[in-house]
Amino acid sequence: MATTTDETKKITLRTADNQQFEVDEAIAMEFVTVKTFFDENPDAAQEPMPLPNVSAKCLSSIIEYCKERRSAKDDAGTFSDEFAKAMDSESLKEMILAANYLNIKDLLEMLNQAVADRIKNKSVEYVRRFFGIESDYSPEEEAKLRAENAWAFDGVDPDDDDF
Amino acid sequence: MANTQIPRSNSSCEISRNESSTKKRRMGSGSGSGSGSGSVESLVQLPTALLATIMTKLDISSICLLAITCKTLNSCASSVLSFLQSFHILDLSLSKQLIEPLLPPNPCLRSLKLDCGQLDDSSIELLLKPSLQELCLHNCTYFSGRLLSEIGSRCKDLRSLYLGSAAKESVSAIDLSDVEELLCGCTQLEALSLMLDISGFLRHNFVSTWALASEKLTCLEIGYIPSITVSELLSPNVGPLQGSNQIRPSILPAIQKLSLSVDYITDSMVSTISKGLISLTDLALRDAPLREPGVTFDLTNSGLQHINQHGKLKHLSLVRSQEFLITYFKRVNDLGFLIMADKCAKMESICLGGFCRVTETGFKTILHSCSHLCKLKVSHGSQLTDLVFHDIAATSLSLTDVSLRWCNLLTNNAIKNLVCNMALEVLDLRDCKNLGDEALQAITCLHRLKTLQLDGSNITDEGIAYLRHGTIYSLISLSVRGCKQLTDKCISALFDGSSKLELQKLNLSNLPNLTDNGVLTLAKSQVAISELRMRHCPNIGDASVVALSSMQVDGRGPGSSLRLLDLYNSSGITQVSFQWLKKPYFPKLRWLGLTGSIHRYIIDILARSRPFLHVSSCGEQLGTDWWNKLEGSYVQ
Repeated sequence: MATTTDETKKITLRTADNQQFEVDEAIAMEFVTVKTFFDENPDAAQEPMPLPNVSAKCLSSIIEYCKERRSAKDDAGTFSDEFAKAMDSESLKEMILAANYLNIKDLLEMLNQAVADRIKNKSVEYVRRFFGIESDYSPEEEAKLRAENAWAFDGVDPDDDDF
Repeated sequence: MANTQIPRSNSSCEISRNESSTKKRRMGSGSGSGSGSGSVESLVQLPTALLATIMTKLDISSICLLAITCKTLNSCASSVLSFLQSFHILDLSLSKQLIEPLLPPNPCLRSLKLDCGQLDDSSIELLLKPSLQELCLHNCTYFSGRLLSEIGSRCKDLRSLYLGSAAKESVSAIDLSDVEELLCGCTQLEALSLMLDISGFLRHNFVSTWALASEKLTCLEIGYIPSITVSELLSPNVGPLQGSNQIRPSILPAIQKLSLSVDYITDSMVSTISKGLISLTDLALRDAPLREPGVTFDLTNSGLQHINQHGKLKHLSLVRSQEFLITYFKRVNDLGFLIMADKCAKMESICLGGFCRVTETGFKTILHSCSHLCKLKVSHGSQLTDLVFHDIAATSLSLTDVSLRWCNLLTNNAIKNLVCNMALEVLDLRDCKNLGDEALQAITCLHRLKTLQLDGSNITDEGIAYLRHGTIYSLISLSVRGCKQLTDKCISALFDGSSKLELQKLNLSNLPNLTDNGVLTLAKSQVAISELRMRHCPNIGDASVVALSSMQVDGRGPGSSLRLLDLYNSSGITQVSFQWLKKPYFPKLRWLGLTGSIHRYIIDILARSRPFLHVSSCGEQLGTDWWNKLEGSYVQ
């Protein structure tokens, strides 16, 4: 519901796990998905907007990020770094999917970079664990690929367990 | 990168729930997104466009590794390689066979930088993509002149070109027509670095060739060119006049940055350059005389008079290197500098090498005339004394980069005055024999210092200890090569293992008192050193290699962070070290220096087991920093 009693208009969003969040309109409009929805349905402001693909935890982090970024305009870089570093791999994954769904360009860009930084120069096994995938190559195929790309293995970071 | 809007339909990828991944989940996140409603299971459910975006932020070797993980990422990697904008592999030289699959047709490729040590003309078609705007090819030794002409015909859109060591095999391999085709073809060229020796070309033809160069050329660098050719190139109106209204168009009219290595820096060359290039902002000239220059073939006070004729010069470098002969700019004295200083009020960086007759008067005048000066580099300033910096605090100077090399009259007092420039980031005091611990006491208040070089000075362990209270936290590169009084204690003085340091490069060469214990302390200190040089250290042995190989950084698994390790002529290293130079130790090592005569066995086997490791055996300098080092010979 958009209230007009406050100075700032608020938009209500309902997450996948049925939690409702009241968000400043200015921030909500950074979510292009939300913006498009309201542009196309101006009357929909009466009802909370459903976000079936976003959890409450994610949305609260996202809102926190957007708020912080607005207030800390000059120091945005360091804040983003800290924000990304604090997340473990699972949260990072959820956030990316949420940011992608809500179409928040800056956040998505920052998260993509964060993932790239985490998988940069890591071993094949590490990347598989990070993404949660198993190899669908036969042992021969994999051996062939490894041999062809032997040079790329040369400077790989040793694996660590922090995810 | 476009996002697909609502990813309810997941990209076609096989996701198998990996049980072990749930076990590894950190407890902090709780139960997370919860169950059901199609929420997140695995990151690979991301739309391929998103995966591709992430991949474009990675370097090439990481992309290759990702391609091995599963078929989806493999096809993603393949597609990324076909629209990647930059392709840079500079620390390895790959063969054509390895590079070919990585360079598919790619209409988006804008920037290509490669070490071409293993490539030749057969790779020309592979490398020279028509969309390229920036091309940087190092070590083009096996290419012929055809490389240049093909660049001219294939890369019409090129804005910036760097060619290193092109066709070094034989000078005759590059024909003037190749250069002509290059210049004619690349009409948009703005920056050109041809690191080759052009003295083989007939002078007259060479001059007319350059008339073909793009009008947009603003930066030019040439590996070696005789000064006579330069003078002729830039002299106005050589040749018959066509008519009273006809002015010959000037050659290279738009040049702003010029960097040349010549045989002799002469008055006529300097004055021709200064008169002819009206937009010049950066001038770097370096010579390496083979014999003592005669008066007509040298730089004198009158040559300096002509510098900066058009008043736009911001960066000036005049260096006489001692590559072949010990020689200096003997015909320049204080007067020349006084005249030059008059014109240099806007200068931001000055680099003067080999002016042995200039006293502190000359240097001081320069310093006080250039209120915007950020970088000051003087080498072989044999008469440069402390007085130059005596009242530097009274100026408004904020120097960031100071290099005073081979300035033997400099003492600690000069440094004490110099450090009032708190913004200093680079301080190079190599071979200033009279500097000692007091200088370090002053230096440690510089909290932004990133590079500190104290080679050959009189410092002791106590002096080094001063650094721990200030500068060490910002330092990235530290060199104490040849500071013979240093012992193992300096290592423990600097690194107590308690705080995270930024230090990456450390040069401990020529330290007779450095032993394995010192290196062990270093290894235990958990500093993420990436380049370690310990050349000519007689008391370093196999124990050091063992210690370094198991160096743990940030509590991660063993496997040192070292990318470069130089142990040339450190006689304690024997074949025992070989065990620890093999994989899996030193996983990131790219450069290794050993002594060829003694370590032949190790070198040969390493060449086979670690084909991508550059092993140097004859004492040559390691690392990529040494490419285009204009500074003259780095002895030892």
